[in-house]
Amino acid sequence: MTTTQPIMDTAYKYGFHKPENYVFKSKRGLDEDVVRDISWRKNEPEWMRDMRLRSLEIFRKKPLPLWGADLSHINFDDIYYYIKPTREKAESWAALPPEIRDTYDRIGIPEAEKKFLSGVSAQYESEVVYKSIQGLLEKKGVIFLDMDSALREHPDIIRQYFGTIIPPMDNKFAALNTSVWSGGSFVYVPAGVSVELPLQAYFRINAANMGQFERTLIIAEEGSFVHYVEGCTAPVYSTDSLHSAVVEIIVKRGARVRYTTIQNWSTNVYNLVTKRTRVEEEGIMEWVDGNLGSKVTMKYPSVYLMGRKARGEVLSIAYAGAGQHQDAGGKAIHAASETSSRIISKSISRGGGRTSYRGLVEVVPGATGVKSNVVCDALLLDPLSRSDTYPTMNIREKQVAVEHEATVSKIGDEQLFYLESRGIGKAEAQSMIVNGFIEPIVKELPLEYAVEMNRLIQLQMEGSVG
Amino acid sequence: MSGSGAAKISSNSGMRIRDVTHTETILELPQGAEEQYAYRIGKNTECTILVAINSVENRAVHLSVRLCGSGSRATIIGLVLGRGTADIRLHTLQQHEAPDTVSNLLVKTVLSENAQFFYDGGIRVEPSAPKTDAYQRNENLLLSRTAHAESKPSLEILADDVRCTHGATIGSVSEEELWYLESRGIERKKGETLILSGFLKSAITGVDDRVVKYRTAKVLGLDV
Repeated sequence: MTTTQPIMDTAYKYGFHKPENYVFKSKRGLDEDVVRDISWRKNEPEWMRDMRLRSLEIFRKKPLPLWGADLSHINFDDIYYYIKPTREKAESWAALPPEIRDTYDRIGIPEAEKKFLSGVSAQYESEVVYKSIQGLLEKKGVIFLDMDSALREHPDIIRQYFGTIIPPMDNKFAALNTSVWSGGSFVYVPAGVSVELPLQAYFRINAANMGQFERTLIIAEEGSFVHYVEGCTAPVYSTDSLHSAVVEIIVKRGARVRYTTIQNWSTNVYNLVTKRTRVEEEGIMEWVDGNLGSKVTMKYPSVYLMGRKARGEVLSIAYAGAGQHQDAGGKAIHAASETSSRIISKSISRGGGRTSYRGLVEVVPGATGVKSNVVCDALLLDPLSRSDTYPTMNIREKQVAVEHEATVSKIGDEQLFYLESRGIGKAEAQSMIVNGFIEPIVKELPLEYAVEMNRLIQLQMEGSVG
Repeated sequence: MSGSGAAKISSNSGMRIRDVTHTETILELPQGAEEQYAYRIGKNTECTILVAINSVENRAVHLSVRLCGSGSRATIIGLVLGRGTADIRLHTLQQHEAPDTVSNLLVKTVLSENAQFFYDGGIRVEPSAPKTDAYQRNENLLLSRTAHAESKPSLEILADDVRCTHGATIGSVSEEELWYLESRGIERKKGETLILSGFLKSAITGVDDRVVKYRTAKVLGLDV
């Protein structure tokens, strides 16, 4: 028997709440003054302040999307758009305030640190407060900074690329982010440099009604390689919270970028993210996207294949439990010849959760020899849950091979029976099948994330049988 | 439309809904700019619905098939030949409302010159329809660089004990196939015609009703 008990309510591992301790918190709601104030406190150049104000206008004019998840419950006037947690940025782990350190202890950052990962930049509230970058990166000329510092230290590069991949006009939430962004990462990899270890950033929200608006920009010069990992966990609090990030990536000729996200927000967070890459000739972009938490997620990582033989991949896993709606997917726009893309999506719905795949494959006129393959598989674990698939294919060229396939099913009775006949209990058998189902994507994750993912699935399957 | 004494016509908000209560094969040949067809398939009834369009003019066709009785089965076949500047739109809905129902949809399209085709097909499985099998497939062949196809399938599944798949492909006649035929002494133009007629004919090989099969082939200019 399946029950409808959501795992997030019973065993949400990170559901603790630390007392708030801020140097500065902007007033509730959003107007020109708040935007000016954010810009002034960050001591930003004039062009950035003007861009923020312009974006605020666009945000006000644009309607909420009429498709996708239900966003009508977001109260934009009840959100703090900027919080600065501590006065100075900490140089080392020990210098962080104890309650922030404690928070990180619970989500396991020191372990990651011990493992000597190439750089940990942890975001507590709106700003990156702790960061350690290996000397190795600097020697190679790689820049890995939080966005605020990057704007101060490398204003010319930022000005050249900021908002060029996702302009504020793109959508309402891109406009909102451009207007109030704070934190996020900036990565610049010089030509021919390959960054061997994944770059990591941990994000965190810890104030009720605190919106988190990171802005990430990654530039991979010709022939370079970088793997960026973004893992999110957030504590549970009472009122709905909004997370709306923008991630822009530029993959130049022959470069390769992989961007891995594990999103595990608590189940009251609206996660509305715009992620997009421009891929030039022979470049490769890979999005690995895991959506486990949040109340509502709308996220469609996209690849714009602009140069000949560019390639884009989107691998996505979504899990929706009670009260959750994961509206995720991927987009591939083929704007040049001989470009190829692959989108693989696996989703699991349980306890009344809803997962939706929403995707787009577009081939523009003149782009010949394009290949695209989209595969969506969905598992429904009980009769209360729902799964949708909304792919769109828009093909304006003849010499193409575009395929889409989707299946929705429950765990097969035969499969369960087979495992049970081998003496495996029902719960264990179910979790084995689910783990097997998502395995093609989990194996692409860094080891510690793969372990976490498998553990999470096991946790979710516990109590589902009984 | 091949008539059947068993079929009732009822009306609902202006749209004609046809109840199918006996096994039958139905052929629809849309002639107007916009046509709507709605079927309700009754208990333990097997139904095959064929829609064939061969047009240089614009066509918009809405086809809704509701599987209302337990054990009902629907096979839906759409064949589209778009030529000239035709703008052809096909909307299909496979709605499963009762348990143990099966629907199987196949839409095949060949587009030449400046023809455009928009396919928008939905499968919806209501909570009242466990043990559903639903399939949907859309294959498109583009014969010219200026032809255009857009495929927008969707699945909405609200029951858990189901098996639903959909697939869509868009492509052109492959150079390898043409080269193979040429190497066997079949000239290019003839080779292309052979491949196209095979592509379309394969969709109707399983249709038992010989009259419907013959009429469909005739509309599409295929020899049977």
